[in-house]
Amino acid sequence: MKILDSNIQDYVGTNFSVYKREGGETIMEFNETSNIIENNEMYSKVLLGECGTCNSFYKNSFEGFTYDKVLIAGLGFGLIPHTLSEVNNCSKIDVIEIDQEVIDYNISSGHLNNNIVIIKSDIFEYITNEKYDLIIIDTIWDENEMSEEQVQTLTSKFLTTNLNIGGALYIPIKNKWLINK
Amino acid sequence: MAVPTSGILHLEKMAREAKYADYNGSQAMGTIAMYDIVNGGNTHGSTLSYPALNRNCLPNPTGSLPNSAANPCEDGLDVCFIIDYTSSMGGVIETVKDGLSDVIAHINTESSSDYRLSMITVDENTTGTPNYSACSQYTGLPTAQKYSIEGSTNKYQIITAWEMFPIGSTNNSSSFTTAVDNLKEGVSGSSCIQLGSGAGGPEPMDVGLGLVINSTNFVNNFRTAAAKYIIMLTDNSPSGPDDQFTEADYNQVLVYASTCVFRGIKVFVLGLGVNKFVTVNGTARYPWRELADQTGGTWDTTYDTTDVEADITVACNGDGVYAPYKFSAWYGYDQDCTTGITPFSSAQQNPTSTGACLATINQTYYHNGSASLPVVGDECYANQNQTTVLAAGYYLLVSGSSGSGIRITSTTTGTVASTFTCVTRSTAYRYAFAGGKPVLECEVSRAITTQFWHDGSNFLPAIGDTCYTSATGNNYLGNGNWMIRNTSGTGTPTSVITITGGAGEISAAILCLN
Repeated sequence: MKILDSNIQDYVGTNFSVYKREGGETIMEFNETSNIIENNEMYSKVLLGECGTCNSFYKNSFEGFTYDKVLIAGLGFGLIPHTLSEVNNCSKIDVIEIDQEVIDYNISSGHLNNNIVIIKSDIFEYITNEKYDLIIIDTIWDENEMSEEQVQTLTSKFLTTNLNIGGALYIPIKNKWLINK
Repeated sequence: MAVPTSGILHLEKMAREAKYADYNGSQAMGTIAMYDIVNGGNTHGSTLSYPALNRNCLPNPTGSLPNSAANPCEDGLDVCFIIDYTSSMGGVIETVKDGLSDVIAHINTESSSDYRLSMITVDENTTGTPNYSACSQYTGLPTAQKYSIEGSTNKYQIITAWEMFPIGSTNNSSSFTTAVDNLKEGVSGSSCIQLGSGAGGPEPMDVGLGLVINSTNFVNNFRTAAAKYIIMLTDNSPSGPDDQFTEADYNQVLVYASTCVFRGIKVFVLGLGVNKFVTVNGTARYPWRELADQTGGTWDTTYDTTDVEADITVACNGDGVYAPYKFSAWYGYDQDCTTGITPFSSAQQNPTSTGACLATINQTYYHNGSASLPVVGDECYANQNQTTVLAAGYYLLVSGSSGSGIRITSTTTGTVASTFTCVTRSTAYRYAFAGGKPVLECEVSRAITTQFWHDGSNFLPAIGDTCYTSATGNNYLGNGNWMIRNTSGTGTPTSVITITGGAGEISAAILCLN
């Protein structure tokens, strides 16, 4: 689900700006890359397999799969954590974000629930003993951005150490869906 | 206008054409050096500086001789001496006699022993009978070599060819030396050959010059392949047929100068005559100096025979500086040259082909190619007289949906480096705003109703194509991910394109396939 637009504060920062553009959507626009994160109703639905008409990969991936404790790499507006908190009622929602300005903005804006924990780190370097049911890598803009080597790095880091039995490492680009059996 | 394509060319008029594109004008030209007219500037003695232009005009008629250096002395050397034979010249003639053997030796060396010599004298009398009419050396000459004509003021111009260019043989130093030595009462045992009269001050040296260059049998013709020199010795001004020095005489000398240039004859003038001038339109004009300058010869106030030798050396060894240009190459000369230059319509210069394709064809430029429009390798000019080359950039020559043009890259030559064709932009539709992750955007329904344009060859633009927000101009679609469709409508996109770099170019694209 999207965040209520009225709950999101406008912002003009060093790396990005947040504003409501013509048409009403709130966006986070990054200066250097022109990348845009949209406060979009569909975003979490697509990524969490809850879009009935979307690409079958997303939908099929989550069919019969249940989860409660989730680690997410990549914050943005916090659309995925927000949905996990509001819709899926997950008990543990940890978010890794590399950009301090994004973290500061989200805390300042105050549109995320308090049960969402934000950790500043690089997902490729972040080490923890916590166990999760689902780890979502949501840092990538298009499938060509992540190499096989990087996928293997994430796999070796998280697959055995940080996943509960039956848990899954989800890289929603390159159709990567790795389950720890 | 151009100079005439036939008839006598006037150097001063040609200079006007070169300087002002006004062959029949009346502008004061001062001293004129052919070299400067041809090559531009005024480094070789011209009063005015000439533009370096018309380099690509074809001679008219074509096939005329190139305006290259005169024949080098190595291919033979013909030298004609024209001697002012009036009383004031007595001392000079003695000087010439004294130094003659050295001069001949010098000519022999420079020509590799392939020379011919001739000599005429010029005097003037109140009767048609010269002072030396009784001398056997005179009476024995053929009639054709004895010119004695009563001019317009009861003065007779008496001009005698004592030594002709030999026909069928060369190196006539012996007979030439005898002829010169006979002058000024040099004939042993007699008073022959007496100096002539001078009548008034000006002397008909110009008439003598005309006989040498225009008559085929006065001293015989110069050899075609040989270097051709005339050495004139005089202490006075030209008189023409009336014993008076006027502007008409100056003009006549210029005509002879033109003829000499046309025939590759260099004229050297020695003696105080070079200081004689006539005022034309308020300007002092020195006929003998200009004659020498224009023909590639030299002039000097002294008569020293070593000067003659030096002149021959310079002329024979010159690198072209003193080489006269043949007038045959100047027929049809035209500052605003239309021969070999073709006008064409074009748009103004544009820094990009895209911009050029949008420009309006409203200029007339010129090129030197053979086709109606310039092609690669042709040189293009902003003006007809080719003084300003077109600047580097793109020029639209053909407008419309299949427009095309030329590109010039040189900043100095205006040479067409390549051509370009105009691409017609196709239209497609996009969501009004840049979107998020491409994969996500494939799933999101949008109002994809905003028209945009691209230069790709397919309905939808692909990687490498350039996208615009307008049908014309460099209004690039901004950086970001754009959801696009071929037709306007709301729904999921057909593809998502990624534009980076700020110039509308697509760096990545995905097709949205379900």
